[in-house]
Amino acid sequence: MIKLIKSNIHKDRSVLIAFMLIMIISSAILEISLFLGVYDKRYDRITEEMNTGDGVSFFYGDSDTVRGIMEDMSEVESFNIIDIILPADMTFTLNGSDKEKKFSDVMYFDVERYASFEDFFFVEKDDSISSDFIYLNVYTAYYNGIGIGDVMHLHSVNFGEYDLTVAGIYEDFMAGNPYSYLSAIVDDDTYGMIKNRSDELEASGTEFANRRFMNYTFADGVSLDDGVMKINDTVNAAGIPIDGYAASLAKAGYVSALHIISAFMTSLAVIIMVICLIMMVFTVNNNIDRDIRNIGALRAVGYTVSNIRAALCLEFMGLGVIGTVMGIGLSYALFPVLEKSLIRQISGMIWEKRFHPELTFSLVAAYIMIVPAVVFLATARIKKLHPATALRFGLASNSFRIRCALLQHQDRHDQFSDHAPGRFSGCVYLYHLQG
Amino acid sequence: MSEVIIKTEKLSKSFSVGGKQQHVIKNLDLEIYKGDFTVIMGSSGAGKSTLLYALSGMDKPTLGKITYAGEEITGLNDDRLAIFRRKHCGFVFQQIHLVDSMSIMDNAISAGMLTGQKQKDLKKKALGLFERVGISEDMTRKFPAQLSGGEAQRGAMVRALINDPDVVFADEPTGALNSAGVKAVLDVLTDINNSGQTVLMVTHDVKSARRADRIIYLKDGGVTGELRLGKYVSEDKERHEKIRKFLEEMGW
Ligand SMILES: Nc1ncnc2c1ncn2[C@@H]1O[C@H](COP(=O)(O)OP(=O)(O)OP(=O)(O)O)[C@@H](O)[C@H]1O
Ligand SMILES: [Mg+2]
Repeated sequence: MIKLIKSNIHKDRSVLIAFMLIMIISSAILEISLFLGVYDKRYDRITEEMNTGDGVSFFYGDSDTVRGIMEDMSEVESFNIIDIILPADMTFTLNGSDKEKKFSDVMYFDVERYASFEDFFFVEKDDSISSDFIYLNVYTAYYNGIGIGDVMHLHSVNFGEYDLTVAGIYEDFMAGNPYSYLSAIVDDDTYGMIKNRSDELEASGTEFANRRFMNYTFADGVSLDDGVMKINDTVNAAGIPIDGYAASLAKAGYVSALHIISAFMTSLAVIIMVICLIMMVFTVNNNIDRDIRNIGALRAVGYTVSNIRAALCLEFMGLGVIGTVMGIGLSYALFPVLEKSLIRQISGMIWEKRFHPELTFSLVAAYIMIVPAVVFLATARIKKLHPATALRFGLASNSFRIRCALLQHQDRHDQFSDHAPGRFSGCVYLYHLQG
Repeated sequence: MSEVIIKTEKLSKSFSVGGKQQHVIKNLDLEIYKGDFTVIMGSSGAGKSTLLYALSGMDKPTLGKITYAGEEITGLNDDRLAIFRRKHCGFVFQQIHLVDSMSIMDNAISAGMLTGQKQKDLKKKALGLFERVGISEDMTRKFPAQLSGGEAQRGAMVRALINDPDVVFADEPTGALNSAGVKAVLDVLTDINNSGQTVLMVTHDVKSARRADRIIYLKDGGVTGELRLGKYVSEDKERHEKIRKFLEEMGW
């Protein structure tokens, strides 16, 4: 059997290599699409661990009034309010270059206070930078190509200019996706300076950038959307402008784009695989036609139909294993590159570099089962092929029906009586084919 | 009379082509004796190959019964027939039918492995058989297409013999060979027959028929005559004459 598989592989090698390449591509794409699915679970896990709450709101006005409203609301279980500054316009240049980029919709947090209610997941951090620093969330940093140690020159018509060194990049799970406000955290002194400027601007009626950032958790059984709506309506009714969104909406900002990409890649991989399997069915069928004499010979010497089918299935299973393992290997090699250059900017999250055995092994198992199953079905024809018939096919033509029909319509004795004895019987068939 | 190894009772085989039935073997009663070198002759299309395939369990008869060493093989399913063949039968074909993607050594070994023999033992055994049919060790690594017809046929004979079959079935084994090739193949068949294995050979060739203990003439799906010759020792005129006369009577 091993000899048979080996010889089959040897004979089919060019086709097998083509199939293997297709399998590598398809399994790599599929594995990457599965990786993208991991973000969803990771988001849930970390927001749970960090207790980021059920929603966030931003308001302009007195904290105590809002605090009172929140305490009175039966839906709210707990909440937290801190000051932030949200300048209307801000731009930055990096490391002294003159290329100016927009830096708007960024909320400035004070490092001390932000840390008091939310744990950061720092991706990169340089603790040696202790003054005039800024921490950026993953989206902001990677989208703008900013790294640790870069000096950002912030500029605003109303707020003036600040030179800050990037000292950390963190994952922000509520205010760090491209669809929401973004967060940025600055050192105490810088925050104090921005705050003073903001108060001056407010006093002179030039710009109203002082905001409060509030996150909250609802009591059991409260729907997130209804809860957020109720908070916003009640606070608004008290004359305080407020805006906010539920945690579910925040999550969508991080993972929905990935879901779309993942779905697209999965369908692509499945389409490629289905085409590959269809081609395999045709190839296997062609090979059966091509090898019909060999099959006849093997059957004659005592191979059972199952022996021959098993050999073919194992041949393709081997191909499936190698192709899938290589494809998955490729995906592990490729994904970090893709993640750094693209996915961070789309998701605002990072990839925890770790092996995903559940994805890897289930994919290998799926391919290992599907490929031989398809080949097994494709080889069903062999069952109907009697060795005697298979060997006769091998004589010349590949269409038994035509040959038999020809033989049938002639009086064989007359036809061949003038052939000298000793002439081999293969001639009978060849003769008819030519005639 | 010696022991019967294969026996048919009212054996019929017909094919339906385009809805019409063609009766190739008709109600045939036949006995093949153990240790015999039996030759089947007959005109083209008489059903010789069909009979050989039926007797060897390669094809199933339409009606009737075939017993092998007293056991009926007619009712066996495909898998059982395959197992029967690998244990008891060796095959040599006119068209050789070696698996073209394997060396002749691997052809022999892969047949041998079916009966559970170890690859190492098989290789040794195969080398012995290759030597017996006059094929050098170097040549055993060649693929069928890299060999002459005669060499390939002798290679195929090693495959046929690797499982020590009780019966070697040969369907015009010399049909595609030149005279030197014919002689080599016939010598091997005679040799294995002399060492006790039963040989059943279909041939068109009178020269090949001389090796027979017994010649059966097949016509229109039935046996119309048979000739007993006794063991072949060497080429002799008298034997040749007997066969010629027999075939003449049969309308050859
Ligand atoms: N599988 C088949 N289907 C239909 N007809 C068949 C089949 N096999 C054999 N035949 C027919 O049976 C008849 C006998 O064929 P067979 O091959 O046994 O002849 P043969 O005696 O071996 O002839 P030759 O000496 O030419 O080899 C032929 O007419 C052939 O057309
Ligand atoms: Mg024939």
